[in-house]
Amino acid sequence: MLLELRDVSKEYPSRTRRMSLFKPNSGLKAVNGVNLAIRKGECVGLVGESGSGKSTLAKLMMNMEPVTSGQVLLKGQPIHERKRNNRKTYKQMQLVLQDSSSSLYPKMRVKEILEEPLRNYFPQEKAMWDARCAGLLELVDLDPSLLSRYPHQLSGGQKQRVCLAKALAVRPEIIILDESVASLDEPSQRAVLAMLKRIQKEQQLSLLFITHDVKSTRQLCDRVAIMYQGKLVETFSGRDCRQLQHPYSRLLFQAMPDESF
Amino acid sequence: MKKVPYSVDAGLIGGAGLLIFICLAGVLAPWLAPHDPLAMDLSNRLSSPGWTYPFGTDHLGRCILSRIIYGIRISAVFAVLVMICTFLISLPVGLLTGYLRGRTDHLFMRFIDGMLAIPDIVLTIAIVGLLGPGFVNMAIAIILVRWANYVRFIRSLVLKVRKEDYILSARMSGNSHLRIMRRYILPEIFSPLAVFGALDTGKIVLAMAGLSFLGLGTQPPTPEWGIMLHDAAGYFQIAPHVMVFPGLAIMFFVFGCQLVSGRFSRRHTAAVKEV
Ligand SMILES: Nc1ncnc2c1ncn2[C@@H]1O[C@H](COP(=O)(O)OP(=O)(O)O)[C@@H](O)[C@H]1O
Ligand SMILES: [Mg+2]
Repeated sequence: MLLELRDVSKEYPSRTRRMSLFKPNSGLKAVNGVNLAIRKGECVGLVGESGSGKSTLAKLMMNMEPVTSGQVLLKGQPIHERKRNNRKTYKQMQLVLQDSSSSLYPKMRVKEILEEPLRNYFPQEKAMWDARCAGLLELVDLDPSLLSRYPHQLSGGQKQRVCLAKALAVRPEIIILDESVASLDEPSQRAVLAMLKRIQKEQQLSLLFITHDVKSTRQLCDRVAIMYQGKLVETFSGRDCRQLQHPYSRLLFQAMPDESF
Repeated sequence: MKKVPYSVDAGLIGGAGLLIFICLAGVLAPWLAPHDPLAMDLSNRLSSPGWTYPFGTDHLGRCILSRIIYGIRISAVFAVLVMICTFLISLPVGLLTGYLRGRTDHLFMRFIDGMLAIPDIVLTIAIVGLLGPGFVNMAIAIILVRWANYVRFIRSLVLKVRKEDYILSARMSGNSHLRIMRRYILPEIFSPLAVFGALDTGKIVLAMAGLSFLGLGTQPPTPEWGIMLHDAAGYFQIAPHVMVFPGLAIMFFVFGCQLVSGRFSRRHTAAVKEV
């Protein structure tokens, strides 16, 4: 098992003032007892409406937020340990954040942004950095001439692809994509999905594909997990949506035409 | 990241022009000053403004205009040095506490809250009183009092930047915390810091003049604005110009600093309240 979540919960303190000294202030459970496992080379979809805790779960997997309870194991090692260096986690696992325009530093050119992971993770390959940068852009279907641009000079889709290229530069074993295609229009969505599938096949990469839109999972994912109000209500791997148990997941798939799975 | 368009306005131009004019006068002091600022002319004590002495002379017959012009050098150099020293202390502290948070940050902030509760001038005078009067001691006192303010401001800027997605993204690229502070946070907070520095230059000059006026700072015969006021205080009733001109010089300098920074700082009102 590459990545394993064991009963992971995350509670945010609620904003309202504590009324009683003795009653504990019950917070907002953004993620509630999630169990999930991802194998090497597998692509798992995570579907849920907005506010269901998908982004929070992604941040918990990266140790960007402390867990309230539960464990996240990366290759059997718990990542929420005090002594563990986060860089070790990041080398194996990358997250492409939901908002691509705010996750690129506005004062750096695309080339500098892509060079950072190379400099930090592959310092001995200094001579190859330039070629790698160009290669990465090619991998995500971008023109190498964009290397000298600043993020504000890129379109939304281009920014998204630069973020993906930055994650690929680390050569991780698993990439978490948080609504990475949601903001794109239909044709570029399809192009990005095809590109992801190609990269995943080529590099034996595991993907956790987070989306609020069920349709985009059918092109890409081996398995789909459905999240509802912080809980993982259903995981199914078959192509058959008649085996669905939970009413919410039935509702989700009802709208879809049958031939899709 | 929002870019606020800067409209060029009269206040900014006026303030900047005033400061540039004052600094130029300080640089060109040997050519502009009509007399030696230290030369005494005891037959011409307390003379009124006129052709030979445009701003008149003080109680020892020294040319007031020359002393004011040479005083620019001392005030400006002093203010800049004090500011650099203050930043040298407060920048690392503010960056580290704001970026790493945690218990050390909490302790530091309580300590600084305590310091800021005491009025600036009282604390400064207390420190100079302990160290003894003098130029260097005055500088030390001003730095010791002002650094807490700077830390508070720098920390509030860092708190805002560290929550941005690009910091998370930079961490994932394998950057160390140190490199993130240097490469990402410092460039982001630089321009509000520059504005803050401009405003504070005025305050430092004012503090220095105040301390010198009380006899705790610069010692005579140095041509410095505060000490000129101090010397002139006894003669104010018979020769008011001796006091008026140095006072005006201080006022114009501080006014220039206020104009320049006031125009910018309105756009950078950081959440200083946040602790
Ligand atoms: N930093 C935070 N502090 C408090 N509540 C949060 C925080 N981040 C997310 N939440 C809450 O957690 C819930 C799940 O949010 P999120 O994970 O962003 O959902 P999704 O990505 O599925 O749209 C939401 O109700 C949101 O308000
Ligand atoms: Mg989200």
